[in-house]
Amino acid sequence: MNRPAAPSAMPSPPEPGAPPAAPIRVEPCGDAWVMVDWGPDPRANVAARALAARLRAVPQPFCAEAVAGVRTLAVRLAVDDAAVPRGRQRGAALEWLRGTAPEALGWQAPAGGQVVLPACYDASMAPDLEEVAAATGLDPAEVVAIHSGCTFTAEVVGFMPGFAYLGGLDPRLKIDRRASPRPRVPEGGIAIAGLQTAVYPSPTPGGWSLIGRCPLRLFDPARTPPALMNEGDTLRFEPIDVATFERLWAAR
Amino acid sequence: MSAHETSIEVLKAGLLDSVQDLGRPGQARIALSRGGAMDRAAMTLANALVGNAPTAAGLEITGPGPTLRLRCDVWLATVGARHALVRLPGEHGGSTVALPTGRPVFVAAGSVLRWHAPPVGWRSWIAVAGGLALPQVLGSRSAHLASGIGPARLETGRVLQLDPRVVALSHRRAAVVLGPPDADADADADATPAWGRVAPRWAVTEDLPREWPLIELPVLAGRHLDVLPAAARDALFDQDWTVGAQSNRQGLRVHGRALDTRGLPQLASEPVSVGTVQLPPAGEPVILLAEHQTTGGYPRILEVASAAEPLLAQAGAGCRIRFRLVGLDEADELARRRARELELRLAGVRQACPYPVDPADPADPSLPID
Repeated sequence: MNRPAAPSAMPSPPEPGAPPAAPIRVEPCGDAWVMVDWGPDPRANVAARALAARLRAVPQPFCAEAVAGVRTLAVRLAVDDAAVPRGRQRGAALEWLRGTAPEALGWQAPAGGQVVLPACYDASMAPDLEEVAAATGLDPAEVVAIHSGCTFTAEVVGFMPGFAYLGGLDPRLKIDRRASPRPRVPEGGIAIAGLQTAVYPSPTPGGWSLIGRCPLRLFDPARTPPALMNEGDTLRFEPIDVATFERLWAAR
Repeated sequence: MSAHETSIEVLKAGLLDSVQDLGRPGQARIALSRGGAMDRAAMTLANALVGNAPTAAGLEITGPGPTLRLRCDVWLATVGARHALVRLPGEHGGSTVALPTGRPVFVAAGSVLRWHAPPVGWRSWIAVAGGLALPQVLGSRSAHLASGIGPARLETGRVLQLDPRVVALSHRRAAVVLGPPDADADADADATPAWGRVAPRWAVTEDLPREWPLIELPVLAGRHLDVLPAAARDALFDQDWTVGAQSNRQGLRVHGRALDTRGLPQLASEPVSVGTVQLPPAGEPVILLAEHQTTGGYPRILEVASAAEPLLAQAGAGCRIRFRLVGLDEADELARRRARELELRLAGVRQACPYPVDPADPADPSLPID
């Protein structure tokens, strides 16, 4: 397949040692969590994932759980109010994170897995493909070629089990969320919005544009790890035809 | 005794009954929220009353509760809302008898129990000696209904397997609390073996909103409270919000005079947690509960103090919520006090129910709390 060249208009990231684009906020969030917010700095998501990975690999006594967002990191305090007062753990967390959060802007993204997801872009499974093509000035085949030519990163795992916000969509496919969300997106629906793509692991309401469908089971509690897409994974979509989709769907 | 005989049958499902334990904390990285009993302290207390470890699985019931047939003798406790528990005339005939909650009660095989809608509160937790015998999924037996993980919600006709030792455990533990069975008692319908009574005279104190149906929630300012215009902030605190009927284990939708959300910024998705209060564009807050989505992009205007989670668990459709802004010091003090109260209650239960640890069975999942 003739894949379009990568866009040349990508913003160049700041040097690893550069100061943050805006002051980093490190503050309590409720009484059980502390939050780091790197603001609009383009290195923020990598910093969040890197710092979360560090806290999982080298546990700190104040940290029960670390969760990365688009540009934030939430740390759940390890509190047992009868034994360790919240105030003391919070103080320790704030001090450690205020020291570490600026450094994290210079860290590499932790290595993730490589995942290839089969994707059926047939019109019968892509109700919004024509609309996306019209909105972006491309034809549907070009939309498919561009989407399946992108390399995505699982920037944030969230929303529901098996779901990940996949960053790295070619800006030529950038399109707003739909004006009114669909009441029901089918399991496996492949969608785009902004500069992200995603696959819905189970039927749910959804406001993104549907351009295809993946036949794999994205989350299975009996598997280790249960999700196909995990934080930091690199992903791409491999176009398949309807017959292959049906075969893979039946084989799950 | 066959597995069929050590079970509970759902004769009629309640509004929303599900198997719960302490949930699956620490799995937000796979987008799985904690789930579990909406009031984990109450679940722990119910388990302690029947001699189970805090991690044993029981039932969470919501509003009008279920009607259950016990196919074997069971030592059982209900903690939470003021659900009226009755034993209906069963296979052995007899009349409807009120049974107590907030304490363990011995229920004989064949009994049919019904939990009526509570006049105060919304949810209760039921523990049975030995716990519900279900396989663990991702470290818990609990139903995460929003993500379809764990057992499905209870429907009429469902049979719940109990730990196969439930009968022996129930007799042994009932004897610890009630004393040896009374050999002279009339051993007809209701008690096998016969005790003059089926429950102790004491009960644990339960944690219910004092001004029901008004719930005053201590809340901390959220990260984005300051993006609200002053008038909207005032309206947030000045009114009582009414809990809407679409509320579930994922979140409470509250209704009232909508806040002005014009001009609020679009936010990047960030991790949210139980008690996060989000403000969607419609201007009516949503309070996230145990089965919340793990990330959200709406402004988070408040965070409910952790100590108030049991109050959230009691909020049902139609009850009113008033937000009371507190600082971190007060929230921490409330949390400390709550932890202390739970410790005292558990200590009281241990004293009133000195269940022995069975050294011959170190794998017993239902060891008393130590």
